[in-house]
Amino acid sequence: MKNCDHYTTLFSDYIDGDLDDRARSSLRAHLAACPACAQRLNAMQAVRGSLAQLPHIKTSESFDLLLQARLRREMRQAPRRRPFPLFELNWRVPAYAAAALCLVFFGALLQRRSYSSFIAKSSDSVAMDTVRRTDLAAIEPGYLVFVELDTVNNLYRIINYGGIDNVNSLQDFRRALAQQDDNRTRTGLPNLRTAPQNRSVTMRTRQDMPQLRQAEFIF
Amino acid sequence: MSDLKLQPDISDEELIRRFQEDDFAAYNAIVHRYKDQLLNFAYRFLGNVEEAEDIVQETFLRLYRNKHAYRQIAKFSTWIYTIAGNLAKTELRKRKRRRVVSISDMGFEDKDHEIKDELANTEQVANSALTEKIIQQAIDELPPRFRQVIILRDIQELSYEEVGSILRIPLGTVKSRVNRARLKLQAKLKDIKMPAL
Repeated sequence: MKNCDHYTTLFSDYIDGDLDDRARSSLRAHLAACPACAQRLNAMQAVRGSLAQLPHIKTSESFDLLLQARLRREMRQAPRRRPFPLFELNWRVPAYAAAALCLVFFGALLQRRSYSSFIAKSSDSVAMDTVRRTDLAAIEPGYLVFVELDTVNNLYRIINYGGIDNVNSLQDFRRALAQQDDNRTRTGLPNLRTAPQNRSVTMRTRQDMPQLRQAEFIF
Repeated sequence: MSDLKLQPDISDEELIRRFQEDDFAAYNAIVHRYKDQLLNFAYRFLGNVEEAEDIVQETFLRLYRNKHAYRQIAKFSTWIYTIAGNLAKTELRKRKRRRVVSISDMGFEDKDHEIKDELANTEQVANSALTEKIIQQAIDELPPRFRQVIILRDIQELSYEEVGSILRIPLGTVKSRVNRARLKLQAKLKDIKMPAL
């Protein structure tokens, strides 16, 4: 007579319906005579059922955004990692050159803007809309832009910007955002899971100059 | 791009072939098709959503970098699961090294308590969230080789053949490992009355 250890090795095949007739009959006979094994098999089936019903989670809303940003960085680094020799010159060369020119132009544009001021309407919301519709409209996805609004003098200017490409993981990204919390009014950290894209994520007031508001945009 | 995402009749192998010919829409379609599956696999393996998302991100970056490493002799799904599985195992090893420090900072009483207190309250397991947490803790306690097979087979519901291809082990080994993993999990959860999730 075979022992319980032998029969437990057949449990999975039995549950999956993979046992041949002879082995299945032998196991059933054993289960009828051995309540411990029968109980164990029932418990295994219950656990397996529970595993199949575990809820499925979905990637966060920022998942695609961050992946695209990391891919852009990957694309920029690719030519450096594997410089192509002359005999490989093809259509990619002008493509890389055009992409590089675009990057330089875009960087220069933002750099120039970072020291400029623009006239805006009086209220924050109108100013924010103006910012979104006009000067920031051309910014490609993957950038965090910080704008300062002077609600008294009706001015705003871009005070800083950063590519979210410069983070290696979602955890880094969140950590980096959390560290910007220096003088923000406590309205909560930006929540990238729920924040709609192309909208300001947070507003903050400067302690020393209350008429100034700072806004972050994520593109 | 969106067209490809919405065409389930295009096989994975066709999508990767197009991506190998620099069709980025095909890459996006693969991401769309696999991101949640891989997230669930990595999440059940690591027990942490953020770490799991990072693993999936890294998996797709590896796919982007190494698209030509894929050969049509293997199923694409097993290939990408293998990448994610290897990354998840590496993350687990890193985490163990980090944990050596934190556990050494704990007192003996702290070490003993962890999951057992919750498992002991068998009659109080009343809601699905807690059930899920307890099952996840039991999965976390399994050695990685058992954890992988049980996730792939019983949670992801892949075939034994697919599990064998992903883990690069023979079919017989997969089957015996799944059986042992189920027995271990059943032993850990034997005192829990499972309400429906």
